[in-house]
Amino acid sequence: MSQHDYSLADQTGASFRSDLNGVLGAIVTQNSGATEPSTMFAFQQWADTTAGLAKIRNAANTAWVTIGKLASVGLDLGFAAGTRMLFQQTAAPTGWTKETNAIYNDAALRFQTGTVATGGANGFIAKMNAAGATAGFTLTTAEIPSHTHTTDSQSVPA
Amino acid sequence: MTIRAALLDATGVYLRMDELAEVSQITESHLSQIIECDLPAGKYRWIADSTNSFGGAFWPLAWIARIEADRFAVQEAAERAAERERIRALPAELRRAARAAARAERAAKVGNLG
Repeated sequence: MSQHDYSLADQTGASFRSDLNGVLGAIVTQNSGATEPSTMFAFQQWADTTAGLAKIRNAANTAWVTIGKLASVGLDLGFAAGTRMLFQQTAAPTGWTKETNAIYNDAALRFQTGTVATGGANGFIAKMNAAGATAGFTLTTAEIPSHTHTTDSQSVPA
Repeated sequence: MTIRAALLDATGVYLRMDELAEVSQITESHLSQIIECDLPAGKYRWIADSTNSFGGAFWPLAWIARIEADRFAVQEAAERAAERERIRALPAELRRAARAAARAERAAKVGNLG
């Protein structure tokens, strides 16, 4: 574990060498420590040994962004187990399992902030086609809105 | 709904996060693009940078001071080296007077800094 304020003070040769080695130690250990570095910079990394997380400062140097888990292969980057996502491809990507439940065939997405659910008994394609198929429909008298007809008068010689 | 923005002092040093009721309350001392900040007050200065996605970043005051002091020291050393070269090139009878003039100039410069 090693951290440094990345400021080399005026000092004698031996002290300077020690201070500089402290800087190098901080760099090679990703500023590892149980608490965050006392002096922080944009894009600075921190191996948070308390939480076991690799973190990086954001571009403005106003917050830590977690990169992944220190003890996991590849920092365990990516999605948490059980995450569901849409892909426009036939086979599931490596590491993912394709959802094969027939309930999702011919289905559409509807957004809501409540609990995730499935439902509906109508096929998406049939409903979409029906919504646009009005050709050939004959209006009844009740469906016709009120309107007027005008005609030109005509004189016929006697 | 409140608006969060970072508040800076007149020199650009971070003071605190402000919660404002209206957009009209945002002042020139606020950074409206900064809606969260875990930095301690009075220890970091905002330095604008158009290449940064936030338009800049906070830098440690102590680190900035060290960089500025080092820059001055390096510049001073370069100027003195150039001065020595210039004096060395002068005829021998003029070197002593030139060195004295250079010393006086340096003393005046340091005095002005104080």
